Amino acid sequence: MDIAGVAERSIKKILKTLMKPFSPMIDWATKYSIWPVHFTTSCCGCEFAASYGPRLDTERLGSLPFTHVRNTNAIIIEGTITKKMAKALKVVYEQMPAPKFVVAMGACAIDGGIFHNSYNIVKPRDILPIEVYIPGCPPRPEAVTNAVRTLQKRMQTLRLASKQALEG
Amino acid sequence: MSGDSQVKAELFIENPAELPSVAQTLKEKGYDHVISLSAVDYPKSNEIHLVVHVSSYTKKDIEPKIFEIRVKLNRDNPRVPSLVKIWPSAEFQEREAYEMFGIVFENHPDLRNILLDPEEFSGVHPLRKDYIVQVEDIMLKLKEEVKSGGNK
Repeated sequence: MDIAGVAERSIKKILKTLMKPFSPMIDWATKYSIWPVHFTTSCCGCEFAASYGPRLDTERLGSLPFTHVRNTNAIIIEGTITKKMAKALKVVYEQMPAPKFVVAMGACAIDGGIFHNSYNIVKPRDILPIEVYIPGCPPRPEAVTNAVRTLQKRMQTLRLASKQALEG
Repeated sequence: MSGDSQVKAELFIENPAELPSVAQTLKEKGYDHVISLSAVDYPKSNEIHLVVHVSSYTKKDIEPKIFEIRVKLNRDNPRVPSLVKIWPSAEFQEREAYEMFGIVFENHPDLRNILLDPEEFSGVHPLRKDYIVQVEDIMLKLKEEVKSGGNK
């Protein structure tokens, strides 16, 4: 065993114990800064764009769609995931920093939708842990806003963010 | 003839080795591009039919015509000479026929998968009739279950 590794692990342990009293704060802070990465694979992307447009303005809930994967902490899967795209999805998910959440949007992302018996489909729930599902084909923009609110409520009540940050 | 886009000529080739000479003759007559290149699988008679549609941009009198070439191939080892040297627009469509049906195009410059993941679909051809989709129709299964439950 190397000394540097042991020291690093013990420092992390001490930091985690020190941070424990602040876990409600971590949840509260993450709740109002859900930044989903752009992962538009099909038509649900239009509804996603509409829900962040001027009429519904989901940005007022503290959620901002962002382009750089390493600066985001949520991923809204907008549509069909093929076997080739599933690999990209996995890479994108693994690049995001620790408290991270996955939302499956639309019938295709939930159960395959109209492509349920295709040879080239992957259900996102088989490869990623999904917090919120948005049903519809495609869902209304209001449903996306509602999903962001649902995710916020789940974060507050189930302590999702602090669990991932301190234990994961 | 002009304005009538329904005009269609057809040619059925039994021996795949004859395809390049037929294609060369057609090109000299003015058919200068491939509209579509696909295949049909007939598992009962153990054959695959390669279907090529060609037409013309340059010659106005044959522009509304679509010429269809059908080539009979052996289903166990489908091999056919490539058309890329005669019609360059066939390149990507031959690659698609290669991954979907397993047809090997001899002397193709770059014969590999175009749409499907090469790791997931190596040696598997999803548009052949004997390909088994892992998640088949949910509705049919439910119907069968209800039927067997009623009989019991």
